[in-house]
Amino acid sequence: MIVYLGLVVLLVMLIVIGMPVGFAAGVTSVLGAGLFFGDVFDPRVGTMIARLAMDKMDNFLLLAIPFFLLAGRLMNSGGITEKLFGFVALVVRPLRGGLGHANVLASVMFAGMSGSATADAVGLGQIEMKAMLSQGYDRGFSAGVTAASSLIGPILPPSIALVAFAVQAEISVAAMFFAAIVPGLMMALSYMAYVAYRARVDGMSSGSVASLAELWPAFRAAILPILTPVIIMAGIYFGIFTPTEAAAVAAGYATILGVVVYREFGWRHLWREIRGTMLDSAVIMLIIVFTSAFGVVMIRGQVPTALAEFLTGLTTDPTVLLFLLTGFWLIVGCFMAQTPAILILTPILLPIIERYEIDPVHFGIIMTLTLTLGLLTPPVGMVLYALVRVTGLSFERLAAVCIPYLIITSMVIAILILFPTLVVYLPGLLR
Amino acid sequence: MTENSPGPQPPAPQPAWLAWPRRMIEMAAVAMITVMMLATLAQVAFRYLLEISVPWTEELSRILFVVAMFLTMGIAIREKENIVVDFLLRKAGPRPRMAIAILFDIVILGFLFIWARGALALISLNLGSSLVTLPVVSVGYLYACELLGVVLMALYVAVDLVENVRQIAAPARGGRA
Repeated sequence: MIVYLGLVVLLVMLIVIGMPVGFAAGVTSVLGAGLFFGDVFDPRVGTMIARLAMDKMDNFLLLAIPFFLLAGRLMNSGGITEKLFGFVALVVRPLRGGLGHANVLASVMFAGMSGSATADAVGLGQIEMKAMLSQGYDRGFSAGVTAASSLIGPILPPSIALVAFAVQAEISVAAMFFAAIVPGLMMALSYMAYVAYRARVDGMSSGSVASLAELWPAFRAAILPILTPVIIMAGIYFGIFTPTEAAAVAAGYATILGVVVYREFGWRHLWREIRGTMLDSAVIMLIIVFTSAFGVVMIRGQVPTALAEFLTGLTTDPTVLLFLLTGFWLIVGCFMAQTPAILILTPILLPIIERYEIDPVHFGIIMTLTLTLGLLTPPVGMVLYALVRVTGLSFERLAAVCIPYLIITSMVIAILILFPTLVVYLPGLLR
Repeated sequence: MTENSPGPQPPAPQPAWLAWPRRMIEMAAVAMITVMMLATLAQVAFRYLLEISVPWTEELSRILFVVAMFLTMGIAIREKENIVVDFLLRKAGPRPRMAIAILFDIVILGFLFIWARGALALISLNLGSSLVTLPVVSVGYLYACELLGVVLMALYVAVDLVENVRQIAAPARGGRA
């Protein structure tokens, strides 16, 4: 057991000193397999690794990842995001701090097309920052709301992180998608409440109500991309297609919008985006394959059982356990990106939550949401790095303006832990 | 990139003899993902519009995905797209960073050797069994693609290793001169 715990320490060390996460998991898996076959160079170690890699990849669910990645990339191309933001900004113009609200709402809609926070931050973020600064909004306030609203991307469906969790936990992707709707909307509403508070305190102005003549062309320009999440979720809910098929439909729809309807990009750009999608997917697959292998090694070494026994000694209450784990994930999130952390931790933690009879869907949402906060925290906050150039703020200042949103999101997480119905009600309707 | 490190380090210039296989793999992988998408869309269309069940589309998509992913992993290594937690590494000086990179390359090559040996063994073990809806495709072929992918990864890691060794050696030689 101690030796297997040593492997966990080794994995963490390799990752922290900069070995690619997929290979760090692969190397420690090989060492673990060597432990139970008696020798790392035993031929069975290699066949175990090769077979696990094939078995894990040969999964129709995983195809959703490149398809959703491609849909997000294409939606982020050209003027689609501008159309989206232009429409939303008109709708909320009468509100005090209207562009702050527009920023959050545009991210909600963009989240329905892309599953990535960085895609939101870099693509939509540029448009949002430009619009807010040109209207005289404070740079720090604009940067804070732009960074925070991008966190909605990996939560609201479709979400790469949720697909990754579902694959590792072997549960329904559709259930995860529906479970994430209420938490995602709670995040958006709480950010908008904070924007409203800041708008009042800072004496921000409001604009006039948009006329129908202004709204109609903006709506017409934005409606087709806005329909993407509706098509995905309605298709899954009514059983027209599986989540993987929904992802292919989203990618096909984004291609038609970009190439045929809006003519925002041509075949050359499409080629580039597909190529980029392949690279992103291959990197994720490498991690999925070897974190699963690492999970197998850990189970063989009875690490989850020992961890469960240790935790049972601390508490037998599932709610308290979730709060303890949330604290742990907050620390992990500061040092590791969301999707790899989910992929590594899920196989280790899943047997524990089964013992505590926690709904895996509830657990998955809390874990995903908590690890998302790491995107806004130093030292590895990816959204912060992505936004430094976009916002023109220093890394430290950017991290500081995000603090209120981190507190707000933590409060949302606490509410979701205390009231699991908020998470599990919608997926319950699928059964 | 996904939500990972601040961004990949730009890859060093590539030897010319490695450029064309990379281009071929890229073209094949992009073609595969396109066919994969069309097959998945066709699955929905056949089921709902024509009310015909086409069971081979799912299996075709899956095998194209597996093959495309194994082939692309090498290019991801070449382009330094791998997810890396590099906040500590960025604090180190160029030479320690290079030394760590060399160490990683050697360890990864060892790991890839073990993986390749396993894939090779599984090719012959699975040549006799074929896919359910596409009986012309032997499972052994899939393991052959896995082996090819691992060999490509090893090749790119080896190239990276050589580049790193050259770079770490260059200032030392300059100093002696």
